[in-house]
Amino acid sequence: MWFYRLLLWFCPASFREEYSREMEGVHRRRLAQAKGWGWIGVWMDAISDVVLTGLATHGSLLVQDTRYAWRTALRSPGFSLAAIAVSALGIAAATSVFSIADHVLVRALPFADPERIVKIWESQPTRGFSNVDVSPPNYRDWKAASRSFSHMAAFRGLSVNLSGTGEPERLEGASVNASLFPLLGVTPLLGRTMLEEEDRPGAPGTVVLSYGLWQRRFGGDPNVLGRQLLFDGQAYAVIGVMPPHFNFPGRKVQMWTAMRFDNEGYADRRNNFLSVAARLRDGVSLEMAQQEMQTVAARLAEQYPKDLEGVGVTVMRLRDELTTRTRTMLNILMAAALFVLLIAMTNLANLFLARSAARQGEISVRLALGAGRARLVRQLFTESLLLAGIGGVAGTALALSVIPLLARLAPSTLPVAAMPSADWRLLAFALLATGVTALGFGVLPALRSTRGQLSQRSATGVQKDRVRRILVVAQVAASIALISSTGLLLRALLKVENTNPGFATTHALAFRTSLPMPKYSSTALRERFYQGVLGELRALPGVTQASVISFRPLGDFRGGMWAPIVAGQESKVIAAARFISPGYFDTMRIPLLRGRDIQGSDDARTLRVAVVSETFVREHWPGESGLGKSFGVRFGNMQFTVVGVVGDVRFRGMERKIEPVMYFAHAQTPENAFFWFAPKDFMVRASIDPMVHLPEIRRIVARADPVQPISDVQALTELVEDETATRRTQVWVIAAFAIAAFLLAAIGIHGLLSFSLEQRVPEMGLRRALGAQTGQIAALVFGEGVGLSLAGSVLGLGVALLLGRTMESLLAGISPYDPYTLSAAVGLAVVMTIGGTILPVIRAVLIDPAIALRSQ
Amino acid sequence: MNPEALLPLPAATFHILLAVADEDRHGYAIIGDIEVRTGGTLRLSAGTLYRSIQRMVEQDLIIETDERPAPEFDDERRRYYRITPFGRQVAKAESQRFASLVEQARALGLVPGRP
Repeated sequence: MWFYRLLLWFCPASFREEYSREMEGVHRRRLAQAKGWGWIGVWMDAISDVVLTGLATHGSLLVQDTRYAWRTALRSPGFSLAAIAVSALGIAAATSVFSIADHVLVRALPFADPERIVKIWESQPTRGFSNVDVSPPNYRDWKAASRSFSHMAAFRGLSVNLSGTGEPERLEGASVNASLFPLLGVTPLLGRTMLEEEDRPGAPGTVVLSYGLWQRRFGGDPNVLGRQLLFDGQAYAVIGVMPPHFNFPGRKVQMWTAMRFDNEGYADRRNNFLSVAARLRDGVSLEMAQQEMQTVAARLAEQYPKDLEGVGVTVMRLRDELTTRTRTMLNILMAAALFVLLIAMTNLANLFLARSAARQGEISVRLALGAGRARLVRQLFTESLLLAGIGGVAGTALALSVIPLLARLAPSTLPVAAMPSADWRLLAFALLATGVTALGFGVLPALRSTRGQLSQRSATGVQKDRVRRILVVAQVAASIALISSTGLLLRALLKVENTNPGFATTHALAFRTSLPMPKYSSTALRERFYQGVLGELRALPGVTQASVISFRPLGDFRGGMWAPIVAGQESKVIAAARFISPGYFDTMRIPLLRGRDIQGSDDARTLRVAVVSETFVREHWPGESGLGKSFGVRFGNMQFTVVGVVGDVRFRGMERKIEPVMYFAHAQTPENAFFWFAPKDFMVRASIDPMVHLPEIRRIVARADPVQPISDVQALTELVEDETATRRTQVWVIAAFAIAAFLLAAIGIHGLLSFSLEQRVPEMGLRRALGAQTGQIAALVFGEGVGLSLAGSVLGLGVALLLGRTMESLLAGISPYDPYTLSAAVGLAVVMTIGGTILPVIRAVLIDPAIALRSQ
Repeated sequence: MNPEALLPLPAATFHILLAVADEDRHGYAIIGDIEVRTGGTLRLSAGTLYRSIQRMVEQDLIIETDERPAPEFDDERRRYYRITPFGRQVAKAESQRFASLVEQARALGLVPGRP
């Protein structure tokens, strides 16, 4: 029988309470009447009967309660709308941030068995580098010596001029080993990927297109296979097209070609430019692979002590490659979103508590008439579920509309799509958030308002107030914490934005013409191209200066970082190497501090000269002018004499410390060498917006070489703004959260004070009648508000300090205890208090003692 | 309330009304009465019975009664149900609906016996 009683829990409490004994009786009689094995049939019938009855009664209760809830909601539309809006806000915040965090941090990468894919780097622990690109010979030896991996493949970024089909264009791609595609376990949409034999030097060129490039450039033509394309003037045959969501290694990649090394390519162990991916063999854990690779690397370091001194290896999961910064940022956003959801919930709980107080009469009458408590709680909960459900639908719609904005926070270097897809995970989360919200704000008021007997009703008022007070304090605390976090991030943003990059950004643009090799392998030929283009650029109306450099500052390439050899010693401090044309410093407004600029007369026949940045001089010749000093570089064993010193620039990021730079004359580059460092970024400065000249600039380049595309056109202001783009998005999002939290908290204070004032009208009247002054009455109500917001602010500031400490890495040097931010947060807390209390104070002051006392 | 508004009645409801039409009965007796009258073809399950009873009480077709019909047979734990005047009206209306349906069927020669 106990089992039958257990079964009856399928039925709603109200039904069970009424009929369980009766049903048990029927069941007992049936069992008694059953003959032989008949009891089995009776039990089977009983189980299905109880389950079906449970479902049906639950269903009809739901319909009944929803109808009732709907009528109640329509009766107080203001209240219902407020509840819907608040829950929509909280659910939207949580859902949208979840979608981004899930996309970037959690969701499996779009490859077969992605948890087994790792990246392998060289490491130089003594110099503090854990992820260093790999040299080809080290890659080759790792692959031969290791047993932990089923596949290992190398790849590198690639950038070519596409010509021979319509307008010439600069394409970003990747040069990869044939084994990369099987390693990732992705098959092409059309055709095939590279074969091992196409991986060797001398094989005909083949290319696999990205879906995006195939659609954009070839209109999705299924006959594209076999087409010949010209990359930097060399023929490549299209052999395949990848599916739409294949982004490897990053989102910008539009095509893949085979990477080839001859013996010479395997010669230099210190020429590090490869990325290496591998797939763990079945049964091999990451730790086992790490251990094996340590052994392999140690053996290599013993074998090549000169090249590999202090060089180790790092093995990490592909997913973990994300920067700490991205992680921290998303964690902060998630915390902020949860705060908003929490504030929304407490706010709603307060709203419902206030209303349940107003409905006390109705509820106590129903209790007195014999309505079961479970039945009433269920009904009240259905009401909050209905409102939260509508809020959830609105919130999900809102989340879907802001996700594109938030998607800018997903780093483009990740092999995932730019936009998270709206799928069942997002919907499931929204549903969960809705359920939690409804539970959070519905259950407490429902339980509280149905507790106790009619006679005790009025006595519980005081206690209920305490709960509401705690909820308001929590809201104030959460909003103050959010506000100070926003303030800190805003200060960091402003600081980064106000950082001087070292060059002037207004009225200047950069564009790229990457000259294809071997067509332009002659330095003199390149020099002729540059001079031709620069001459015409300078002749454009309004253009004041123009010049060309190997890599623009703050651009997407870090461009050579070399260790200079000063006085026979290779320096530990690497410096950026930049090849420029004369007039670069003038164009960029980089101040020439001492000596002279590179000149047209510095060419292959004269002494190799260099202009260096101030930090370079301070590093190597502290206290001296640096002029006339000489230094060398390992590459090509070149020696340079310093002829000029210029101001520092931030060339690798606005938030990095200033690093030294060496500028060399392009005209002095040796023949047939340093192709990667050939100047490609033209800089144009004008007295007006130089963007108006863009069509003319295209014509100028086309006149110098008709198949030469230009790419990466950017105003220098954009260059600097891009540096802070994710920061700005992040500040916007958090600020939006903080504003919402601030408003909700102020509304919370207001609601609580108005409510408690309503209950105290007679008391106020009495005080008035006994001679209390307007000021005293105002102070009474105001004091209550101040107490709430003081408690909340102190708590909130504590949380803010903790939060600030955890996000220190994002603060660009702003202290988490920044006094400006903290005092601003306190100031806003004051505003919040005044805003929340002003109406109740006025109402209290206006209470007429005669009317108030008569109502008693 | 107009008795017609509840028609047609669910089969179980009509049978329960018939079962309590002549005397007050408890749940198990209702099941037994229905079983006898239908020649064993309809045997209500406990769930169906009490779900119907719950709804019928709400609709004021039957009420729970405190009076015990025959004290010597009474088990005081049982709950007895009695038809209300409204329940009786509804049962009549439903019977009339059936009667007129049977008339129509007879006119079409679908009922055995006299045309």
